[in-house]
Amino acid sequence: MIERQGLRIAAISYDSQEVLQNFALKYQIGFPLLSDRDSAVIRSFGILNTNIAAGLRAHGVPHPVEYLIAEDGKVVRKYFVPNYQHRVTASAVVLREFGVASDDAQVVTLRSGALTVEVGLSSAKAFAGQELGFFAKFNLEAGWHVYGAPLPEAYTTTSVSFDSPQIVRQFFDLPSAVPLADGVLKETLPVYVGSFRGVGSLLLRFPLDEGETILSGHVRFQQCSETICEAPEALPFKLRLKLEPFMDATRSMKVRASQSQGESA
Amino acid sequence: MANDIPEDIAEKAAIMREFGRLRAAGEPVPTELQAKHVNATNDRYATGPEPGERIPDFSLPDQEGRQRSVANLTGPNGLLLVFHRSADW
Repeated sequence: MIERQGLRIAAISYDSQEVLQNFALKYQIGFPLLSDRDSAVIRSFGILNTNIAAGLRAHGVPHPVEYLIAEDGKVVRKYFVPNYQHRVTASAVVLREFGVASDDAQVVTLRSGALTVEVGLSSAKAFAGQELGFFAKFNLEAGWHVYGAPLPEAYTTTSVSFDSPQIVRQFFDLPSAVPLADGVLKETLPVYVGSFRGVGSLLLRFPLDEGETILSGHVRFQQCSETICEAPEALPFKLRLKLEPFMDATRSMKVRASQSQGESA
Repeated sequence: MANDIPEDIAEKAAIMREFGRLRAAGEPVPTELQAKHVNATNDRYATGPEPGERIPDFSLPDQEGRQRSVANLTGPNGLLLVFHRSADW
């Protein structure tokens, strides 16, 4: 789904070309896996993991960082999770950069008064420890608004948040709100009107049991017109996510390779 | 500075060795050791070039042995370059 957006993908590790070739064959990897055998490129990026002493197997590995790089070679955005057990999903990248979610990802529609909100995940499935994307598309009937930030304490900023224990960390960004002078309260406050859309990310705990799971959360807002202000609301939602079984990819590959050579693993 | 060796590298190595030994033996890793291992590995986390900065140029062989550079890896909308630990373990 990355390539469909005109974006190429490439991975760099300190593995030998032979290891990468076996890995690409076994997992049908269609993009370049680059071999930085002496970690020279990893060093040139300044991301060598220096915590790992010479002599240890992992000596020479990088801190896991993903860069979105423009055609001119400049960094557009960095994706990283400061924990080696966590990774950002391709679907989260595609959702943030191109606004496209997987076709099979569930979308729920919430309605209250003049507001309709569609909430969905970037993908229908993920591994424990991955960072997924999510989006919320808001649509307000004419004459109504909800609030952005910053706001005085008495008002409710529009937000989407998950409260499931499977989630370690989350972010949600909305576009900048537009200032609106309130005729009744004589205040100018940041608001959203019409249709707008926010994108967020959520980091899944590691480890988690495989199988179907439910991620739940709330959309919070307060809808007002020029004459009426409704009470603040919190609409609950639930989204299905399939947690994939953890694959110890490389171990099974090594076992197979050594079996075919008649050696013991 | 990002590539400097930390002072407590020997202490970290001891944690990593013990973690590796238990994992290789298929024995359970105590939660405390697991946490120490994560902390030792993720210490001094560095993320390299910032948005707006140009990445260092490089040329590396891919899995088929073809030499690849930033220019021939990039698509019309750019390149997602992923640094990862290993495909071998």
